[in-house]
Amino acid sequence: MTAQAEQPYISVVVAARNDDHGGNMLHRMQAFLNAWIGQAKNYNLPSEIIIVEWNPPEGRPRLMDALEWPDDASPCELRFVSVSPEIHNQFPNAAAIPLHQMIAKNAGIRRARGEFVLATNIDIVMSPELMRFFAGRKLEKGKIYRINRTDVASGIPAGAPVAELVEFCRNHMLRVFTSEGGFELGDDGLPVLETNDIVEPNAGIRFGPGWYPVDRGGAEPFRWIAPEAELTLERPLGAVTSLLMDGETGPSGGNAPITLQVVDPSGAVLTSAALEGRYRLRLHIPDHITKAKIRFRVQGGGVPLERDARILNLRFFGLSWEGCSRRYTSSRGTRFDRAATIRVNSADAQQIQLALTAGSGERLEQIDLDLSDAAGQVLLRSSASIPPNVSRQLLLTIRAGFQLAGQAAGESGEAQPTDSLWRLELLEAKPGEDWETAFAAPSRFAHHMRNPAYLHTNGCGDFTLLSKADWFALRGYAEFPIWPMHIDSLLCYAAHHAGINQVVLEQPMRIFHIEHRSGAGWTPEGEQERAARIEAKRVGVLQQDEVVKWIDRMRRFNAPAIFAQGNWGLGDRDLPETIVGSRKPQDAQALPANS
Amino acid sequence: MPVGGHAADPRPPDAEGPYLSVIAASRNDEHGGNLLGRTQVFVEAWLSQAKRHNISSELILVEWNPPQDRERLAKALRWPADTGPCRVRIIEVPPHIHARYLHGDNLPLYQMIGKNAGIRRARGKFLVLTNIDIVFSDELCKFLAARKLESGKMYRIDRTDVGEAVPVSAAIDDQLAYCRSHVLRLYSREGVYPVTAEGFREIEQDDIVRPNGGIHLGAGWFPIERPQTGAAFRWMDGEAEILIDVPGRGAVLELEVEPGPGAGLEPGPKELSVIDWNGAHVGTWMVSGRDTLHLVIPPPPSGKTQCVRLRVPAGGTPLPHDHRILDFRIFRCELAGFASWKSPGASSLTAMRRSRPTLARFIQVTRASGGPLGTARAAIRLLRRRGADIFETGVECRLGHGWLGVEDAELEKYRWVSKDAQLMARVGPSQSFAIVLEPGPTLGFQPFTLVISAASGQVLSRIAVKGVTYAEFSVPHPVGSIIPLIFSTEGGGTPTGEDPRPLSFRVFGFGHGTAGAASPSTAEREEWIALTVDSIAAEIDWGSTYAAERKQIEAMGKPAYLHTYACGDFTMMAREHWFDVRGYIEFDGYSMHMDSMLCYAAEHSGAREELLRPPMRVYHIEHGIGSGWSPEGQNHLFNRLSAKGISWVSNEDIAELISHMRNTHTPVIFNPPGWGLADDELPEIDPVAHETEVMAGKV
Repeated sequence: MTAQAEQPYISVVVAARNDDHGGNMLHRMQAFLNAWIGQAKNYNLPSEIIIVEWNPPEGRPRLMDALEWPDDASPCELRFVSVSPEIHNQFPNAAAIPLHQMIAKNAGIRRARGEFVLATNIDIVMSPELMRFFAGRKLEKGKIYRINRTDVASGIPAGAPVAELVEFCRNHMLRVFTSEGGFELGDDGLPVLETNDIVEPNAGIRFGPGWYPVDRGGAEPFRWIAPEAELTLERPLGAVTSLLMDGETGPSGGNAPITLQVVDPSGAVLTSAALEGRYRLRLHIPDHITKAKIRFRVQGGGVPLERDARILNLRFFGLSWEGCSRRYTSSRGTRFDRAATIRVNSADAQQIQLALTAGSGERLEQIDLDLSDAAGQVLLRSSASIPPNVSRQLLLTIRAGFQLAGQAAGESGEAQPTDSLWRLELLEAKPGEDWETAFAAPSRFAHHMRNPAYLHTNGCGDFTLLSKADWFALRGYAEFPIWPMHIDSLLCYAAHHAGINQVVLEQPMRIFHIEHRSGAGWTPEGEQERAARIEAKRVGVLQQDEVVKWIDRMRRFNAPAIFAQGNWGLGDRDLPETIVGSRKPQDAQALPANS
Repeated sequence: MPVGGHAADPRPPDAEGPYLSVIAASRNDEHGGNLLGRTQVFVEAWLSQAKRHNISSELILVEWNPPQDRERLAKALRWPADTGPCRVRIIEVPPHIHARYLHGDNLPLYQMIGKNAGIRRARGKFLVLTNIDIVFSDELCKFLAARKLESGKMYRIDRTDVGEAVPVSAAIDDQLAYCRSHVLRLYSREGVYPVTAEGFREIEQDDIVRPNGGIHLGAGWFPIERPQTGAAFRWMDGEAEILIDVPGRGAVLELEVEPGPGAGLEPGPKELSVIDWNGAHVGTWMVSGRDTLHLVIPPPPSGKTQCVRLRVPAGGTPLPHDHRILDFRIFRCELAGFASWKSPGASSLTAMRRSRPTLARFIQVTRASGGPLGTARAAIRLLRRRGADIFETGVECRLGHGWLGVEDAELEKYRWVSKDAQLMARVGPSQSFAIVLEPGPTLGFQPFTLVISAASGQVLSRIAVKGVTYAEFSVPHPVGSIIPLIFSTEGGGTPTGEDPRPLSFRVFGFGHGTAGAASPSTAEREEWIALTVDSIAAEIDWGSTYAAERKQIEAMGKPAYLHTYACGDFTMMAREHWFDVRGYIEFDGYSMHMDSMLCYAAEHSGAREELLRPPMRVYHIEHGIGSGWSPEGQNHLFNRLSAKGISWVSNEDIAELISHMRNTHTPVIFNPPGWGLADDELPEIDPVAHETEVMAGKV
């Protein structure tokens, strides 16, 4: 090569073949190229996109002929690296798996010239904030960068200017893949509640980052929380100011209590409680607060598990506002919109408003009211029939007036009314589940582990960024000639145990993933179809339990598990390559891999 | 001396580097007892051998965390003034590096990391990783000197444990002589076996060979297994040696075998073949169930123990969880005894009386056909000389399949024969056999032709049988040899009678012929003959046992079961392979299984295992502590380690690692590129030159 361009700061590696994988492939790929090239220009980011074209299908145009790019893409270059069907056929399972994605990515990583190498996919669009971060050249060696993936609707205008592309993505977010799982997003950008979640719908309690999806594996649904879990609260008008929480310490608690701190957005601890076993808590919220974003922070625990890579310190079975009864539901079904309910609409010192709703086919007939003291002695009893014009719903307001004798309350000497403080109150505690015998038992070797971590591996095939030297240290991805599921996760753990720490890039940095039809890649709807297809072709896939075993082993050995030889990434092969974008297209030339 | 750079493709630092690096890790702490004495033997033995065989080499001792209150190895050991073609390098890992590790107080020597430090700094083209109590045999050194080592291979060898009194500072020949004559046990590929004074592996209780039965088992046999029900057996994989004291005139080996899953999961018979003492393939059985096999062994070239090998040519199918390859189960392996029936001592008159109906029919038939009555005399003689069975007294023979039990009615005695019956018999001085027989109901009692053939299919004789018939047939085999005879029939009538058994004909008498000996020139060369004498249904249908794992098994192909016993004592590969697998796992815990992990990682990285066979040997000097292994001992060790918070590579780990490598055809490597203390400066001295150097920069 002559006239060596400026060394790219970052190499972007993707693997593909022109087989319309996932449907509408070229369209999505074009959007990916346009977004990167356009933004690299905007932010003056010297970069290269390495497209490893693996086993090009016969009778279809090469990607280079099917895609478009500006004559001058600088400061970005495009490199098309081709892996011939002859090479492909030397791998096991060549007939069943037309694209060995991880080996292909390795071939690209091995040939990257950038100081940093991002392994991603052909349908990913970076947010401007992320590109600006790259351009700031703040990436560090010895780190592995990860990010949440945000899925956007598939109608992306590929040919549109970058700004429009990005705008489309921002306005069409469907779901987000965080370290805890995949979450459908509501219009407000927060994950929506699941059906039969651990809180009532519309109760003003929403789960942010750090909450795992609802787990229905037990007798009642629950959610685990990460060491930090965000909660968005909006107190129903007039409701009492306490949140009741039903939870339990998990297997990662070890045999010591876990401290739950309630933390405000600035990181200040508002209140805390020590927990062990099954507990009921009351979180008292200051009177004046009706909306809050708080975080639960777990102190202690952290014991790794043998069969689950997650750290499971605390779980919650339910959160509800005190005084707001959970909906009374008919025992016969879950269609609670048809069942009779009584709910507290509002409550304060002077009055309580109740909403009574009849079930389907029912009619409200009579109300009975007892006013009792703490001992249960009835002070006042009354009943009334409900006017016939009220058939389905009745709003009932109970007003109370107090007559106080003796001193005025303000003179009692109390410094500050406790109502103005956050306060966590342990209402009840009893022994919890015996985790030692549970599926999620602590690892037998937990106390030998020096550096266990639960990493954000969800969707990591779409974004894993390390320095080139670190990719070489790890020899890229495991080169298993099987379906690539989970192989990218193993790389994240290998990096961690090679001393390469994970950094999760935070919003507003985002990657947008353009939705494709189910049947390719991991989407919640497509998993079954995919499993069927895999089984049909009788090719192995790394099972989840095997992945967890590898994670357990890396934690115990505190060593990276590297699944490749020194010749990883087809390092001993000459692969034909064409470079375009910054100059006239060159003839295909064989470039030896870096060593 | 930092080596840095983390080059992906290591090249020997200079083309003039030694051919071989011999690397061990140690410290002067009396570990295992008499450590200095054993180390002295190791060092002297290697240096003498290198000199004698002129092996361009370097001996690297990595001295890990030297005890501060004891002498360094350089001083504690005696060094010859001239080490010839071998340079000695002692590389020290100082205590401050040791202090980085978590369990330094309990584990004073991180052996594998120490060895890695040596590998990282080695200059040889090939590297053999060994220990400080190992002596290489002359033949092994000759092989090393021949420079026939290849890249793409991982060389392994059995470890031969010898007594602890190897003479220190004696001549190498005396040391080797001691080793040869004080063998205690063998760490072979299949297991650890005690060795008898004669040098044979000990025969175990309920073993498949009998004590003093003239047979010992050589290489290739897994340990005896004694199931709760059924007979004890041993598995074999690929090839297994049977060491036989073959009598001068040959013998018959009887085996009871059943194919295992390694021979293939498809239905149908599995091939088992025989390799003779010259390495020639001499016979094959197709084994369909629990079969009894006969192997006729010709007279051996000389009188001593002969090695016959069983081979499973199409074996090697792996299992999902057991990493051994289980091709065949052998239940019994012994020299077949030959019945030699003796006359019960009845008077000839009684014998005559009991043969009268047979003889009467014989004479009737002979008269009717106008045949020579002269044969009557021979027939009478044969029937008279019968023992308790139908065989002539003194005839050595053994029935194969096709024969029904002897029927001894008051006036007649015979055996029914179904079809394709086999009979093994020793050739007498007349080199001929005689038979009295008669057609049976399956042939409609009609005349037929009896075809007698050898195992090769060669027809020896065709005899027309009509009624009771006496016939003799000669065989071209030498006197004293054992030959199988196969009886088949041609012609005959349609079956009659209601007996459901196939009863082709019955034999009243079988013995030596009366004809004179055939001329020696017609004698055939002695032959190996493989015969199936009995077959019953297999105990286990492996195809259905592993039906659910079929896909996984097929995807594994035919992986190797490696010789990992005592592999820390000898693993040899080209330098680039050691760098490719990044040495041993540098695990901050108890050193166990790490050497086996390396072997499997190397095998799956393209360094295929090759076993070096006797007389190439490595001798291991016995020491008092830590030699024995028992499950109880291991559990005790684990408890102790666990209490100290020290982790280890468990049996389950290593099993899963191997499965994983087999399933994915990919090695598993646990080290980052800085393995072998690449970024540390390690002081190095040559104890022979007494120079200390702290080498900086790259090697």
